Amino acid sequence: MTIRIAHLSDLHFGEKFNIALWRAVKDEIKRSKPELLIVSGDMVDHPSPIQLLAAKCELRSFAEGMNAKLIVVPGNHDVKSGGWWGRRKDWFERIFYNDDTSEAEAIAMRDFGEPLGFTEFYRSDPKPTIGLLDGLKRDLVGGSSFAAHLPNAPKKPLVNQTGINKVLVATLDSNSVGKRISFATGRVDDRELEALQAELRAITDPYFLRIAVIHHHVLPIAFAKAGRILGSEPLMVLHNAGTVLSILSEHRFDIVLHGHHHVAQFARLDLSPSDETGHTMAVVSAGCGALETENDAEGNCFNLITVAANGQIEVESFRYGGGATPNRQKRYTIYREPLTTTKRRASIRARERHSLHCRTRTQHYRITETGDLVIESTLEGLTTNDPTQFHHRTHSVKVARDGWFVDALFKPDRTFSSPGVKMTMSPASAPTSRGEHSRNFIVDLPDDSLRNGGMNYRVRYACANNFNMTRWECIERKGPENDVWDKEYVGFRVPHPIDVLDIHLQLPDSLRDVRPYLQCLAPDNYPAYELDANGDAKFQSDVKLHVDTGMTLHEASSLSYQLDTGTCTFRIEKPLVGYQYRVLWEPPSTPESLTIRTEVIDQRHAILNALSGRTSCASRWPARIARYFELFAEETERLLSRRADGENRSIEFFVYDSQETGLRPFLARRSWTTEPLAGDFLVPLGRGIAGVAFRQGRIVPWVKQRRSHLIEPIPYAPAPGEHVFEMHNILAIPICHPAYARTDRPPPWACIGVACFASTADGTRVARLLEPMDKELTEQILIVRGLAHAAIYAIIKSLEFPEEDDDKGTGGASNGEE
Amino acid sequence: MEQIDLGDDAVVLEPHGPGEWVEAVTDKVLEAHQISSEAALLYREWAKMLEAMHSPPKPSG
Repeated sequence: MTIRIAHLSDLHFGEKFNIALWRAVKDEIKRSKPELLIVSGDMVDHPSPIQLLAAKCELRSFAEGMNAKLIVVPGNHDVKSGGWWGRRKDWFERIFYNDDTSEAEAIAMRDFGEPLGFTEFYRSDPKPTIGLLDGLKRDLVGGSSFAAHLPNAPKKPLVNQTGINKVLVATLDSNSVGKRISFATGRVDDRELEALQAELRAITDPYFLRIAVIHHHVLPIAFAKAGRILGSEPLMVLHNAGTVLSILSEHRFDIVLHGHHHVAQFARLDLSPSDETGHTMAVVSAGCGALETENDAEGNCFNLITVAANGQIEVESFRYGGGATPNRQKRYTIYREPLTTTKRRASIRARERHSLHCRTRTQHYRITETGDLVIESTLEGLTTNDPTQFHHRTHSVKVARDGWFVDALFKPDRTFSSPGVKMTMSPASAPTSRGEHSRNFIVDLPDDSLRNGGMNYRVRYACANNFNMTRWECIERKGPENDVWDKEYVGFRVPHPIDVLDIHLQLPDSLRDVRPYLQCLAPDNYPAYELDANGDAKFQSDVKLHVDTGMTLHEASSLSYQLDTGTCTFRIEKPLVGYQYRVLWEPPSTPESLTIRTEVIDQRHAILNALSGRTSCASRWPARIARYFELFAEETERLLSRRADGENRSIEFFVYDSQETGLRPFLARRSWTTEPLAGDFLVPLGRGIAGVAFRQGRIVPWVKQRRSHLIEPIPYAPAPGEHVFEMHNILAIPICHPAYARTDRPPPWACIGVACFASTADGTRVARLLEPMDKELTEQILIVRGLAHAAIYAIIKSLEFPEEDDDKGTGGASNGEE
Repeated sequence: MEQIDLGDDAVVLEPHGPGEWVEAVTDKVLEAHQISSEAALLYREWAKMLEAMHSPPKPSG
């Protein structure tokens, strides 16, 4: 949430106050819609109760009209009665620090019939009466009768917990209570400073942005305006400015707002620039808001301070005068905080808030040719301020709709990790509307392991089929609410303070030409995110992320991509806690032929329509079609199977169903049963052996003994009483449109489906496909591939031109040569 | 950064380059692998269709 603060000062409502100019100032501030209206003193020129009351009503009404919170501090003119050694009055406290001054306001209304505010009437400092019952006497300024209707002075609030997105405002009275004021100099009373520190120490809720408001300038004003009396500086200073700055720095205030000198000035103060926990303060002065400034085009000034959602501070100064009103076109950006400073402050705030800290976090993502994601997370130098807690480190990975978490590959790296690291898997989360789900696991660290030098550990895990590898897949899987359907990414959300985040992404050959880019995403509730029970930033699914454009541009230069190796790396120093850092890319498109794509869609539909109401048993299909399938099945079994005793085999034809984004079996033959495959059996796009072959347009041999775990057969629901056999060798052949039959890798949009052979035996001809192939085996695989295409296109032709005796469903063998 | 090694990805097969695989299966090859006449006919029909589809257009006139 962006926060805007309007900073006014030195209004000096009184003789030289320009009411028309004030209206223009208000109009300009209203346009900026500030959340906070801060006035750093000298609201009035002389501290008469009626003018202070007018000032309060004016500013209160102004702030309420903008739905802004009003914060004021007294200037010397608000409390000093006049003269070199004037004593302090308490009208300011009685009027501004009391919520209810309605009684005095009612008397003023009754007497003058004009609402209190910065009006011509109240500028003349009228003397209110207290009415007949109070003695029919006119009150004098500061007299006891009107004052009796003002509340007593309460204890002054020092710290305002604004309730606005973790913003804290401390108000300092620099008019040294109880002491004589030497002309216009200032001093913050020691007791006030002690009380302020006590209040700040008592605050447990961390505040992301801390603002101090004081009337007098905590730093010297470096340039005096023309016409100023040379040598007047000693009569204006804050006597204990060093002490005040020291305390504000100790409590890591970000902004100090002041006025007093009627001069706009900005300074950045860094008392420990080489200390990574050091802190920078912006010291901002506003000039006078609406005083007559003849012949001085910049004699007036107010500031607009914007704190962006990421915490970056920007100060704009509106300068006007000499009869001109403030103009948005004539405003100066006097400071835009460097994002390195913003990050440094965010890091300090995060370390105040989190007990955990990690020196280096490395996320290594590898994407395989089959769209699998393999992750290696390395944490080095993990420490905590509270060694009795936070031993449970949670990790989470998002699993795509057709993807799956590979349990077999979930393991810690024992050679790197500190002793005693244990890992526990949590159940999968419920799927989202996009069909994704999360898998979470916990790394348990041994007691007291986070003390001293800290803990190291590394874990590896993988999600198979987690990415769209082509634009065609993006379109196939596009959901109604998926607004970034055409992009893929890997990302890391920062759970606790980290000094250095290293991200490595290894892309496969087929994605090597993509152009990865970086995005920094902030949660909408940043920086007011909650902490979870493990001391990490709580990632709430109902809190959306938005792109932080400024931070993205700032960090973009850290990303490098090696085109020849497909390796993308970037390093983020002090990543913002709660943020997600993503590397995105657009999956490549393949040139499409609309004619062929339409033909393929029609051919798939022809099969799917024919399948409707049938099972995958050949006997349920027209004789001619069943025969084509049997011809393929018989020759394939003969050529590929081991022909060993006890070997069970399965032959299937699958067709791609775009509605379900998966492959449906439409003809199947299994040696151990005559039961058909379950009607709802579906091989999701890119999963199983058939899914990989279809998506990649390549023949895929799979051998259980040599599997990588990233590709596994899809289990099917057996018929009642049916024994389930585990397949040890599987071969999947994509079936493509004839126009692409001579293509190295036909695109999936040109593929009808997949033909599969599976065997329960080890050592079939499929297993030999993983070795260098001899001539005989090459010819065998080419024959099987050709027959698969021939059979399926003969089936499609039969479906397009059915003969009369075909659709009787009698099944069994026919000679297939009508 | 060391490479993550989790074993082979899916082994994918490219038995021949583009265009080679249909022509590689001649009648002699089908015979050598004892493909039934019925299956060989199915295969040849398919190969014929591909041949027609991929042969360059004949010059007209």
